[in-house]
Amino acid sequence: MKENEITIITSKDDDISILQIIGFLDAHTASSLENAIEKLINEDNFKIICDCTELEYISSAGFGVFMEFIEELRANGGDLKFTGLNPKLKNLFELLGFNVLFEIEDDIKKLKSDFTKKAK
Amino acid sequence: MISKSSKVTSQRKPNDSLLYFRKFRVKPETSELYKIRQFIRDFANFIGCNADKLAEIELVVDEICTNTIQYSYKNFQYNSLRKLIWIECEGNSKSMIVRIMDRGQPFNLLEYNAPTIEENLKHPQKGGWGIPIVKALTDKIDVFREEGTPGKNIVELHFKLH
Repeated sequence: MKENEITIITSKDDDISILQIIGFLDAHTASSLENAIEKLINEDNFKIICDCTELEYISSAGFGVFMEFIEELRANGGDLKFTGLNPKLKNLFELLGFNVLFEIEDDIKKLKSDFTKKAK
Repeated sequence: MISKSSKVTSQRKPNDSLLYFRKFRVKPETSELYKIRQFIRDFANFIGCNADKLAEIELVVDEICTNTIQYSYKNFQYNSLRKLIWIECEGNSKSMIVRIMDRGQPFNLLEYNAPTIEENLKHPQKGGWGIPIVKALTDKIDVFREEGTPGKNIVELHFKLH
């Protein structure tokens, strides 16, 4: 994969959508992620887990996309949660305070069960 | 005009230590950002920068160049041959300086009252993350403007490597 490419794979587990973000998330590629989240919202999917296991790089353009949708997702009973962050990305999420705003877990099962608990 | 980088050159300082230099020029398009990151990575690796610091420098330079592409060059009225981003690196195992130059609209990021990270978290919005990242990860920032037709903007980013 070239460093100016990104692939977004969407899958579903009950009412939870999982976005696998593969590649490089910068000002050039952020619109792909934006479109993917927008499509989920338009189809009334508000519970989203971003699997960043194969995310190699993120700049502010990528963080901006997450922030763009967070209020709308939460207003509709959903949320945006993150898994698979490597230490480098985890540091950056912490630097920006995203670890306070978003749930970040290595174990995707925990994120799924937290969504389920919240719904009860 | 394609992107082009120079070879690494060196210069001995009065204290007998070596300082290395390398230049790069690139089209101001977001599709070229990865080439800028590669250039920074190559130079930082060459001078022995560790992986964590390297990732920070790469990100900071990406943010500055993204700003230049999306804002400074938005309404450029001059010959497109002059519409480029020039990057100069200098450094050794102790420190690295990245100088980023463009001929677009002047923008002084030191004077720009960017929202803090805390403010951004309280009022979530798409934009406004780049400058706080730059300020948080850079040891010293200088901004210069050379007047002319068109003038030149220079952002100088200083990083301590140890």
